[in-house]
Amino acid sequence: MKILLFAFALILNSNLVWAAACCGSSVTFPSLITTEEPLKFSVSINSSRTIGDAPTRGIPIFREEKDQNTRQSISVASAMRFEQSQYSVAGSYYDQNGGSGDLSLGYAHDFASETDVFTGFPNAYGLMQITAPTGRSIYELDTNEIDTVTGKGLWSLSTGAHFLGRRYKLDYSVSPMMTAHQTRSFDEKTVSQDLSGSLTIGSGYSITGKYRVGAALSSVYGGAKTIRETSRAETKSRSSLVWPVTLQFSTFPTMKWGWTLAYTDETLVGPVRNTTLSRSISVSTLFRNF
Amino acid sequence: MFLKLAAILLSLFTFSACHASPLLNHRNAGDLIPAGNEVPFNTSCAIPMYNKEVCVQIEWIKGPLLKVENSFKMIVTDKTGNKFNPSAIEVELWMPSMGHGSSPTSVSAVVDGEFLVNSIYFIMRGDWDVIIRLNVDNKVDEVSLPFVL
Repeated sequence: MKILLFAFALILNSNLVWAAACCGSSVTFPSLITTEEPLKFSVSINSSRTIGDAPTRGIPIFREEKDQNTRQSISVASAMRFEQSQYSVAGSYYDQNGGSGDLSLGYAHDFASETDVFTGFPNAYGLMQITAPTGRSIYELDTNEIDTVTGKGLWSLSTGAHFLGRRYKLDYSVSPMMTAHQTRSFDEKTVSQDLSGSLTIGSGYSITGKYRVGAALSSVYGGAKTIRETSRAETKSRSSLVWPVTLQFSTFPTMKWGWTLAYTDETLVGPVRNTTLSRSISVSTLFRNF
Repeated sequence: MFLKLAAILLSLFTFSACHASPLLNHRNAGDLIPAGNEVPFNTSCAIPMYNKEVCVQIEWIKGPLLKVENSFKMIVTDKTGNKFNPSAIEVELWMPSMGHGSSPTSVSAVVDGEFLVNSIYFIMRGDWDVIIRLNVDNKVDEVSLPFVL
């Protein structure tokens, strides 16, 4: 039962990459193994619809039906464990005129054996992730080809922690993350971004040992972007803020396979600013090799 | 111990966020696009504000062009057609499909009811909104002017 509960919690945490259809803020979270297996592999199919826009000031504006764009993507992620160290890789592919997205490499250190000796104290993981801008960013567009955007455009380094606890059939987690972005030059512009960060709080309840329902609330802060054009001095946008809410239903028919259906909504809680607002649904499958 | 702490944290986190739900506090894009034929008080009003108590007109002095400083003149009138000065004016640039804006613009008064808006930079091609916000009688009113560059 203990392993099953952790397996459900693992599925919850295998899906913590939420993004707007184009360029909205997202939670960056490396693939993580929280059970005993040395290897895991997951595939996720995601459909995201941009519902509205939150300006830097004032209340959000919901788009008319004809202006709401939908995008589908498929994400793959894998993680390997070597004693207390874990290494992960994750990538995605977008439909229509998209193509491959950004590629992420992650490292996690498992403090579970140290923290598990304290009753009621959650297991702790230290996290680090590097994201390479292998996708196409908005800074590389010449026209309004928004459907071709698949990446953020900047190298980024994320560090943080993940605390995962359980009590009877209840599991709960807290995940603070911080991301630094490297300045990058494009054809006629140089783009830099201030520090970004996120805090995710999640919880779930296991039903009959085979099913789990869960929910998570995130606060995602995107640092202000500075764009230096060759034709002028500097353009600086304001920071962004969005609060994704995720509801999940998971099933784990065997110890090796698991499925998760997740719905993420960025229009439920605020305040929000300087971002697009999306709703997305995803189906994920997870394979664990014992 | 930790579970109680997490529950308290989650409660504070949730309550602090729920009061500004976009789902409960938003406007629909169709209401913000100037319709022109729905102006109740002044048929010559080019751009009625959201609550239709105030009218603005804009005249591009330079632009809209890509990657250069643009500017326009803005005239603000009340429902009788008389020029007046709102207590505050803000002009914001926004790309709705991409979820970002541009640098802050600069607004300066020329004469009563007429304003010059400078430092307008469209940093890339695409669909832009010029969002005009006026503070009139301690109420913020706004209009969004969409166009494709």
